[in-house]
Amino acid sequence: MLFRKSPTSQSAGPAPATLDEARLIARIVGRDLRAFELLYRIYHPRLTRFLTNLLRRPQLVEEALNDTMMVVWKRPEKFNGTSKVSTWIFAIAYRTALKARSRYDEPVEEPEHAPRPSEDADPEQHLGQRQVQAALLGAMSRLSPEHRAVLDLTYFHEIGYREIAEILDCPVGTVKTRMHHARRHLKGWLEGRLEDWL
Amino acid sequence: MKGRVIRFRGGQHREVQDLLPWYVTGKLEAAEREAVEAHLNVCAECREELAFQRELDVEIARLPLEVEQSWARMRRRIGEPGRRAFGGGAVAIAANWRTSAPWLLTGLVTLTAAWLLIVGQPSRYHALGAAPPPAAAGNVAVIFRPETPEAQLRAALRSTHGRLVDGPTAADAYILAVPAAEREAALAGLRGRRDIVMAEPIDPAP
Repeated sequence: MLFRKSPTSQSAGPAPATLDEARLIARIVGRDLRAFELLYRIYHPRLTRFLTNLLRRPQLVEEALNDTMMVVWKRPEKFNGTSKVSTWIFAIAYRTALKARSRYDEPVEEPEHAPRPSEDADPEQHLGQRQVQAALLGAMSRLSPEHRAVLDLTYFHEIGYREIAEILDCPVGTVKTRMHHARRHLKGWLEGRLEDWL
Repeated sequence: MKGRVIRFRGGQHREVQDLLPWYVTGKLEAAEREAVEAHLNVCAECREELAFQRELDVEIARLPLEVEQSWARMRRRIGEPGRRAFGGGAVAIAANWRTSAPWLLTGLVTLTAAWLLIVGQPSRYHALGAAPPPAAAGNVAVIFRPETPEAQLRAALRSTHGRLVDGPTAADAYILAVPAAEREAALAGLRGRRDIVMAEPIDPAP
C-alpha cells in the first residue's frame, strides 16, 4: 500500500495534491524542468503500475511511461484545467498503451504461476497473503486489458467511475459494466479462497 | 450535487452493486453514498459483496518501482535538441514506437538487464503486493537555493520531522519521507523558508 492514497484522502473536495499538480503543469508550460521532474516522480509509480497492468511486457512499460510523460513535457498547454491532472495524464497513458499493444499484438504469455494453497508448503508467516495475491494476479491475467484497467484505476489508484470514463474515453455505463464483469470473474475465480486464506 | 436524492429505477440492487467498488474507495458523491448505505441496511447479499470488495481493495496493491534510471533516460530524451518532437501526440508516439526508442535498439538483453535493475527481480512484476521493499518511498520533494549553507539545509530538513530518502537528484531535489499526518504542515513550513525554491508533495501519500 505504499503508493495508495492515505485513508484521509476520502474527504470531499479537491485534494491539495490536485492543486499542486496543476501548479506544476503551469510551471512546465514555462519550461521549468524541475517542475517536470517533480511531476515525473509523482507519476512514475502510478504509471508504472497502470502500464504494467495494461501492457504486461515489462520491457515496454518504461518506454510507454516516458512516451506518456514526453507528451506532458511537449504539450503541457493541452491540459486545460477542466479535469484533474491525473485524469489527463492517465488518459494519455491509456492511449499510448493501446497503440503500443496494437503494434505488439502477439499473444502475451500469461503467467501460470498462481499457486493453489495446497501446492505451496512455504511455512513463512505471510504465506496466506502471498497466495491471495498470486491467485488474484492469476485471475486478473485472464481478464482483458480494458477490464484490468478499470480494476486497477478503481482499487489501486482510487479514481471515481466518472473520471475512469474520461480516462478510457468511454461511457460511464461501460465502466460500471466492465467492473461488474471483472468482479464476477474474480469472485468466481477466487471463490472460497480469500475466506480460507485470510 | 449535495442534497440530491438518488432514486434507483427498478434495478436498485444491481445499481448499488455497481457502485460498491467506489463506495469502498470513498469516491461516491454524498447522495450516491447515502443511497448505497440505505440499500446495504436492508440487503444481506450486498453486505456480503461489500465485504468481498473490501478484501479486494486491500489486496490489489503493487510494489513501487525504482524511478532513478527511468528519469535518467527521460532526461536524456529531453536533452536531445535535434530530436523530432511527438508532433501528433500519443498516436505519433506509438507510430514511432520502435524508431523513437534508441535504447530499444541496444538489444533485448540490455532491456532485460535494465528492467532487472529497475525492479530488482523479475518476479516483482508478477508479485502483486509481495513483501515491501526497503522504505525508500519519499512523499515530499524539496529544492533549496544553491547558496544555502549546509547547516541551514540540515535545519530545514530536521524541521519536517522526516527522513532524507533520496537526493540530491539531477535537478538538485531532495526527497523526504515525512509522517503522513505532518506532511501538510511540513510543506507549509518549507515553503515559508527563504532558502527553499520549491517544496512539493509526491503523491500518493506513504
